[in-house]
Amino acid sequence: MKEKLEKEVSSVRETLTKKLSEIQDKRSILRAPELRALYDRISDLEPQDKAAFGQAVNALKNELTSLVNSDEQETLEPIDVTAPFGVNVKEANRHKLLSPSLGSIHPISSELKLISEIFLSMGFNVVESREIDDDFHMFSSLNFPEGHPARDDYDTFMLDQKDDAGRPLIAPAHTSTMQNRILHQYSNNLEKGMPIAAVIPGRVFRNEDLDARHEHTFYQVEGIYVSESVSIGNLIATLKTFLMSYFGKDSLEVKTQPFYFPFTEPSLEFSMSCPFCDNKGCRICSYSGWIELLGCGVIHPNVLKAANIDSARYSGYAWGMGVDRLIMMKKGVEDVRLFHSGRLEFLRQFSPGDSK
Amino acid sequence: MKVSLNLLKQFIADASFLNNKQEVIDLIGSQLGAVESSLDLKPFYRQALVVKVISSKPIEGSDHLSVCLIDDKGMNSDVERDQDKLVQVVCGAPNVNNEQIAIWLPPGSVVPATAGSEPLRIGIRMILGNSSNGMLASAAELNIGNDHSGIVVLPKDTNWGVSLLDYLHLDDQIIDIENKMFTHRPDLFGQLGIAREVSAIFKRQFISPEWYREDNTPKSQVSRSGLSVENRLLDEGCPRFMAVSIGNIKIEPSPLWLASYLSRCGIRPVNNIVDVTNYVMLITAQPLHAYDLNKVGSGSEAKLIVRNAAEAEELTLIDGSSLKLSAKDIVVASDKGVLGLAGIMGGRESEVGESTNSIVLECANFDMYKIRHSSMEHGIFSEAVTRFNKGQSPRQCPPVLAYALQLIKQVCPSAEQISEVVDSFNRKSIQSVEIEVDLSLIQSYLGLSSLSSEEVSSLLSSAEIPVRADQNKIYVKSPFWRTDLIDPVDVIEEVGRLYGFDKLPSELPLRPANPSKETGLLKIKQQIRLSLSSCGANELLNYSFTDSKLFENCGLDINDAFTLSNALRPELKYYRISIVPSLLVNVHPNHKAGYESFALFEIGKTHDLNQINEENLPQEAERLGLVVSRLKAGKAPSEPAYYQAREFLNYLLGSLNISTSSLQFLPEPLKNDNDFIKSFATYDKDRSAFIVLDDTTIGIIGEFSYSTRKKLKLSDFCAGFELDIKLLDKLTKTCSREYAALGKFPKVIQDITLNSKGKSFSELSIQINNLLNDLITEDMRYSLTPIDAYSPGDYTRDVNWTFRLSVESLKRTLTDQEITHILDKLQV
Repeated sequence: MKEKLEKEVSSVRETLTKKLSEIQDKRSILRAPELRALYDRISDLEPQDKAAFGQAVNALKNELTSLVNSDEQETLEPIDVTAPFGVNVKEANRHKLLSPSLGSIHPISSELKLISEIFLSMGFNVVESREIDDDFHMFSSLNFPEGHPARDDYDTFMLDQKDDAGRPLIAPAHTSTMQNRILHQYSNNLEKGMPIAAVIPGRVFRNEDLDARHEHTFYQVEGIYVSESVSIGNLIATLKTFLMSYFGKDSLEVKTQPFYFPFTEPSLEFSMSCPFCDNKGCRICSYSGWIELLGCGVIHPNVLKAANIDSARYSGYAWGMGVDRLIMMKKGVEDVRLFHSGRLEFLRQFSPGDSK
Repeated sequence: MKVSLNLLKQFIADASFLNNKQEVIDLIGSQLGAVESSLDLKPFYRQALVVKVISSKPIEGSDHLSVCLIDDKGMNSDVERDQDKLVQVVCGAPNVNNEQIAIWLPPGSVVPATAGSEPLRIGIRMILGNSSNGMLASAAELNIGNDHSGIVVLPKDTNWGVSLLDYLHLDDQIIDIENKMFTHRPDLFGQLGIAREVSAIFKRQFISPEWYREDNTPKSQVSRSGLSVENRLLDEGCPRFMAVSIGNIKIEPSPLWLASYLSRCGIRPVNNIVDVTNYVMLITAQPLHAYDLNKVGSGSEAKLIVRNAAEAEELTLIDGSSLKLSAKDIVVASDKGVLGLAGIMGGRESEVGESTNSIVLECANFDMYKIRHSSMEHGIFSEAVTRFNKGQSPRQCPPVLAYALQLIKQVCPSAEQISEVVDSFNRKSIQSVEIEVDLSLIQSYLGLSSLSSEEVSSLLSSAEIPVRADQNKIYVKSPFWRTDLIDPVDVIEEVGRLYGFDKLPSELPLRPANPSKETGLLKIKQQIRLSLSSCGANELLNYSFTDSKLFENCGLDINDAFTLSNALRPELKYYRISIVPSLLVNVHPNHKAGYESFALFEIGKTHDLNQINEENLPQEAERLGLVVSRLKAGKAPSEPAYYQAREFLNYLLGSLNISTSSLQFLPEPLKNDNDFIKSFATYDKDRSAFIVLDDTTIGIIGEFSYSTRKKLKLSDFCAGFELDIKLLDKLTKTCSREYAALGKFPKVIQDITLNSKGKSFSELSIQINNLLNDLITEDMRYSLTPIDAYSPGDYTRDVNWTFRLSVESLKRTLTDQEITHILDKLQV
């Protein structure tokens, strides 16, 4: 009896192996009726034979699976990669682009673009930020001395790799990491009687655990303006003008709170009256009528000095604005994690066509 | 930083304005720093009364319960009383007794300690047949101390029959201000500093306490000195170290007012001595430490040494943790060994405890950087660290020590000073420097051209900053409690803040009408987004970091990647060296979510460990990745996915106005062509190519390798490409499409089919183009477009290509014969 069963299995093995070399869709061999029939036999067998037979059939199945898998490495037939389209395909059956109604630009990209455009129209150049920087740009050039406790407020990601000075490279925790470069790059402007004016949209990183409101990867728009006799009022007016344009408002209230950043003095935290309820209080502003928006201030003379700018003659202001929350408020996005989720269900809501 | 409005009141004249709590919170927020939270204590204590226990009798059948009659002088109007107007309460505390002054929570009140979590409301209960109206409370239950071993017993002479609210000034508001705000203002870590600011903001007189004078050094009343200090770090690490020994100490629980203020400001009461040191810190921001004298020296003789720790020296702290110290740590030690980690936490060995009868009281100043370093190194974040790492003023030590001595005598009347006051200080560190500021600079910064020097002086004086004005100069001296006034901008900030930033005139800066521009690659990135989204692709954003597994799944080497040393999770450790792998991760979940067909793209930076830029920093490559994928639904699509990726690529290059006439797809890399070679492993070798334009490899395109497809669960119909955006941007300038004027004579259009005869398509079309260029005359131009491909067998070598040839002359009308002649030549 046992021998007969073994024979049955090996005969199927022979049939299927032969078939495998002939067919196109190799994987279909795993659904072959001959294999199916062997499995069906198991339940009819005497108990003492069941186990051995079952094992033998399984072994065959595994054998075939690995044959199929190893074969599939070559299942992609070579094609002529220099050709513009496939061979033996009628024009009507060739690939097309997808429908324009499905396409979308990520909301963060489009809002950063919108923000940049407003500042462009206000005379600010737009410069991109970096994703790896050194201690000098992230801290030292911004008046954070080595070992200063203010560094602790930036939950900074560090790299295993070191900079020239032997200090760990840094995943920038703020777009201010570009300030020193911008000041250098445009310092000629000052001699020509023109201001240094730039905004820096960029991706920044903080070592924070994820939840619906916190991301370790987020976006900021830094702004920097240096000229002769710059006042705090210039700073406030610049930000207010931007916000009115961004939210399409003819008027907005703004207010400030003293704050502390090593690279600005005075440092301020800047709030605007909620543009969604006009200061009346709504869900978006947690019924306070105000939305805390950004940190800003007058650039500390040490920051100008670090870029060889005469701090006795020139002064400036700077701000760093988080944009994720702004976009969430504006678009009604409920969870910050969706931005990096890669989910089409999210992305296609920003398509011109139906979101399906 | 928790602030008690009642503590502030002691230092402000006419402080009744503080009763308007909301206004105070708002103004503190707008002129001092962000308020994190605010808690009104009144509701917790509204009903609690100070009462007298008239009688207390043990209940029969209970080993600990007593039935008490208490007198509240009729304060509570809502409770059952006996004929003597007394209230019956059952009490389980072992210390309850006749004639005690205690605290009673009447029926209906909530136990304050439970108010935050699960409020426990007290009612009228029958306990072993006795009715109990409310309860007599312990300090812990009242949240005004730590003791829960028995009920609160107040001194005999306490005025009872009053509300606890009045007795302990518990009608208080606790405002929690963000510590971050005060990183540069060490003085604001004390209630005194906050009171000074609040006075200035509300334009009230600040009442500096009588003891708070820089010259108030505690008197050395003892002639024979038993205490000495050897400060080895006078020049770096410990600019000032003051200490004094005090004998006849009796360790007890603190009086209730003291414990209660500590509790509401978030500090746990311990005993009278420790509590005084903490309370003085709470008021002045200057941390103090008390050592048990008997553990420091012998008899009343003691010597403290301030020094760096020896490598691997060990210390057990008050909180029980054991440290292995390094030479970067500052310690206070005796001859016998380390007593404590200076400015951070004392050692357990010399801790003040119940058996202590004499102490050494330390009031010292330590370098903020060293304190921060040790605190981070050992992970200790104490109240002292919070204050010392902001850089306290060493000039404040003498009055603080004097005040601490005064309070110790108050809470422990038997205490007496038994040593001289030792003071070791660095002369430089306590000098006061004058800052000179031009009035015009203040005016310009604040945009207040008419601000007068009198106004400036008056604003600064209101915050007790010594100031004098001389014509158009303002001279400012730093008060002895501040360390942040160094430069003119520090002074300007003060003036602006005290003036109110929101009151400053606001106007846009004037600038020349130069055009501004988007620099770098911003413009082309936006064009790419517009182009690809207009052909149905969706832009997404992935993290810059990924995991080693994705590298492995895509055949990439993690040794090429920059890595985070403090990644949140192992999946977020490696910087990307290529964009497409992360896009591939997004493919399967989206199919699973029901999307059959899609194209995803991402613009991002990649970093290769081996590439650095002109700043000697990692080179940031700007990359575009795109992936198209379709579920194999029903019949397999007959055209390989590779060609769909090509469609997107062609469209993209076209919309960027890049000429594709010299575009090549090379199955093998060009020489010296490094940037995309590493990515090659992600792709199927027979279905991928390097994209070359103008002899520059701008990217890679193809379907994916078997292992990548399997491991990332890709559909069989999936392809993508990755391009270098910097190179694309260059090509938009060097290789743009050019306009050709339209011809005036009709074109002749003919289709021709040619067999590839073992050549690839590009080899074939180069051959045909060469022939055509020879055949046509100078006045002619042509276009050759492939329109169909048929192969009976080998797709790569034996293909009949049909081209549509269009020829025209710019000078004349061509004849059919001319075209036939050309076609005949091509057929050969």
